[in-house]
Amino acid sequence: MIQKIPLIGVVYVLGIALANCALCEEPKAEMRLSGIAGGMSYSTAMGDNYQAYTQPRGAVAEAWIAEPHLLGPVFDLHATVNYLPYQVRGLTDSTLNQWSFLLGIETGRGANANWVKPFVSLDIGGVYSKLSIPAAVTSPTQNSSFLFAGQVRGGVDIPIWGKLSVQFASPLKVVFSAKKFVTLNGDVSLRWAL
Amino acid sequence: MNSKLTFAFTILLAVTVFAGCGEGKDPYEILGNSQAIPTIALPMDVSNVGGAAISAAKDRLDITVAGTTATVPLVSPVNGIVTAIDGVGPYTLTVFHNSRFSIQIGNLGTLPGVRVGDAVVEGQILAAVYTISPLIYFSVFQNGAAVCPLVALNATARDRIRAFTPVPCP
Repeated sequence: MIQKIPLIGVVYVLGIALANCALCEEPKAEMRLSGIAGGMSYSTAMGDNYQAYTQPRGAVAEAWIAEPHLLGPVFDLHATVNYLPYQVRGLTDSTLNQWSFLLGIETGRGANANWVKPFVSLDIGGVYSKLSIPAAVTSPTQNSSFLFAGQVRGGVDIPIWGKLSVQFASPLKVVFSAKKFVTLNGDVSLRWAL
Repeated sequence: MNSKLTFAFTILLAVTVFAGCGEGKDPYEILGNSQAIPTIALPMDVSNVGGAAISAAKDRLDITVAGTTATVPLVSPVNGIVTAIDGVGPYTLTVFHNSRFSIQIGNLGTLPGVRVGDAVVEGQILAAVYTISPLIYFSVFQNGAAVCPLVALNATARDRIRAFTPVPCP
């Protein structure tokens, strides 16, 4: 914890500085929620971990925040919460539950709601992971961690009707564990533009 | 806007504060062993092996502990995670190394000093074997099936077992 204090200080100072900088000029437009989405996620662990984990299906929820003053008309803030229950191959009834909380910047949406829109986002945040072991024991130990993570996510958004669209995305996510955990996901979700 | 942006960076600050928190060991580290099938030692020092026999199905090694009065430390031959402790004396303990390789040590008269879910490292003491009840069962599982333990043992361990049992083992 003591080793993290300088890092915490840097993040806090940068955050407050940026927040204050936003007041340097009179804002032209307000920050507003510009979209929400929910759907399912399919994940594959890459590298050596491919043999260690199954390919789980999970859930994903997303939100977009437009901030024209700071980010301009093209970029949006992008927040995502993702749940994936990985099974451990060869370890019956064991699951590695993974919750991701990421925040980043997305580009490429544009303004025309009638077009198919490709997009790219870069998100960072944290991942909480918990290893569940077979339940037929009286006092199992728990192994869990909360680690830094980041993802690069590309995809397309296809309008369906009005403000409703379907989006296909493929996030490449890295959990910064001592043994890096890299996954390639496939997300399908319905997005409602606000 | 200032308050919203401050809120966003408070979230980032929270991630920074909580990063590294957790209980027990990092799950990714526990399950991060190479997927290769390892070459292992016996779960005890070879000098403590007083006899050995291979089961009729050639899927288990029965090791008799040498001596009559001492206790012999039983160690994990691999890095892994304890995934099962079965029985109510004698106990059977299973260590998961990777998705292709697990080991099992059975007929333990004393409760192991580790719990299910514990991460163990190669050489870590798991239990003590009292030589008044000196027989332990040692099994090796590859791709979910019990195989002849000799195929996974290193040369030192294999030679020691061969001194007691000439039964061919693939």
